[in-house]
Amino acid sequence: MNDEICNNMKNMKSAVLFLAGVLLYASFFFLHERQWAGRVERLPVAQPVPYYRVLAGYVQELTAEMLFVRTNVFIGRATMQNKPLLPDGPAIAQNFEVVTTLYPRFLAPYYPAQAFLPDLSPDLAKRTNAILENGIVAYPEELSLRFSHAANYFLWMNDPARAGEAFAKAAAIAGAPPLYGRLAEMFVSPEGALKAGMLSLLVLRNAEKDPKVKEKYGRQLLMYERTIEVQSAVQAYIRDHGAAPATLEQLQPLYLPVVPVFDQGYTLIYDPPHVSLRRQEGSPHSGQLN
Amino acid sequence: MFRRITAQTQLVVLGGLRRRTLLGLFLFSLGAILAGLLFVQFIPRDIGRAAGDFLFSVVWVSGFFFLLFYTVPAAAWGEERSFLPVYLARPISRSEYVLGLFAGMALLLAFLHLLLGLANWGILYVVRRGVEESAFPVLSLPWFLLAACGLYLIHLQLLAVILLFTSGVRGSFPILLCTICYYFICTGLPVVRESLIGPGAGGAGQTSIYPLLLQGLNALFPDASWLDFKTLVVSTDPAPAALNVGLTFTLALLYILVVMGGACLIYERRDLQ
Repeated sequence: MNDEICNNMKNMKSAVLFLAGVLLYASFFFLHERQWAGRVERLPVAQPVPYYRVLAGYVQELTAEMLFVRTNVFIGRATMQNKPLLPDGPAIAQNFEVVTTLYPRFLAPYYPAQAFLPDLSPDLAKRTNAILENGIVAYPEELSLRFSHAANYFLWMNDPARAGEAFAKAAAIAGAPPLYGRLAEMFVSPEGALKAGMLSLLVLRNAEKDPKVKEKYGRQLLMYERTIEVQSAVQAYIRDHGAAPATLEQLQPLYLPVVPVFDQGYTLIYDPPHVSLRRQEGSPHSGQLN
Repeated sequence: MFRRITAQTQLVVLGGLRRRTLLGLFLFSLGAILAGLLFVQFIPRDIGRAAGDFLFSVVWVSGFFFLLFYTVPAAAWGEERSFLPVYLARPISRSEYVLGLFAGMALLLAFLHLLLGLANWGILYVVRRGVEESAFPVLSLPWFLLAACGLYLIHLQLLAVILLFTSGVRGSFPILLCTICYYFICTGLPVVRESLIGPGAGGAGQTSIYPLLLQGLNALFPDASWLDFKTLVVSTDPAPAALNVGLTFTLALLYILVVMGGACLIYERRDLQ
């Protein structure tokens, strides 16, 4: 009888100790969750490509796809929460570089890389083009990749000459629409380059499925439209006065209501009689899609 | 001789079925597939490719688990549990024992591949019908069968190497470690070869000895990517020439024969005490 009571007491003591341990763990767990709730999540940088090739072996394609999903989910969460992408831009670019080098024929990563990276900074635009070059080698006849690659040179790297060259190369592909050849010709002159830039943005916007990215392209299109208005105003001034104005302010108010001022890392450049829109070097754009 | 090998094979197969190895692996794979089908939803633009890669990878992982965690201990049990002297007390030679062991494990692997292959084909078919054609343009049965055979041969190569290790090494844990080292050498060697001939080679690729040495090593540690055709099942990726495919399969079969021959030789000469 006494033994039974002793055993019961022991069992009860063990049960109480166990319960206390569980409650202690639960308390620390919720404390830990509260402390970490406010942390800023960063996208981890991927390992170098040889690391995955050696470790993953047969499943390296799946590894590339998993890296892509991780990166895409990060981008999706950041855009939904209206958080700037720029701080994680290099990590996003690096992940896409690894994915497209590990598995170049995996088409999916090229499109979000194009949608979210090049407008963040000229350096990231360069890296986006390197990513797209992996796709162009894997899919030489995929015109959408070539279009983005060529457009990036002008829209985000201030290099209309290379844009023209890239469009000319794309125009030589069998089945390429006449637009590519037309764009290659337009990039030769500053006025033509502005219109070509606007056309490129229009095509990119129409091809894009993400509504926030479409809106971003829409805002950039507006900048180009206003720049072309300024160009048209300069040409009207030249027709009336025989010479280009010394400054854009001379166009006000007769030819132009107000000289536009752009944010988002772009500046209106006036080199009489040419008007152009230039991405400011070293001036990153946060990439916030709002 | 074939009767004794067949008897040994039957014992191995029955042992595997009795332990519900196949059932466990099949259920594990099904669970992984169901969970993974959620993952492929994140890749809508290339869902066919993602689904194909994922399903073949599941089969690869299942086969790998079977080899590492069932075959290695089962082959080493012969010594650790003193079954080997019992087997060999009967009129069966050591070579027949090893060949029977190989055949039994190969049969169990074949059952696993068959079950998972059927499930995978069904899943790919259903996924293809549920998405746009641009996201899943191609589903090719001939390439599916070729990819499945290629994967099976990769597993058979690993099985042969495991039995070679069991012939010379005592204990299941050392054999497990040797197998993992062998796997990493096989996957790492092509990367090293590529680095010696790539743009970053820095002249090392120009010296004749290293490429030859690595080529020789590649003969001992074959590159599994030679037998990897899974991306061709669901895409229009450029296909290798029929001659190359035939050559690759023949090479893999010869490798298995040579390794098993080595395992038999070592078993015949080995002191079991």
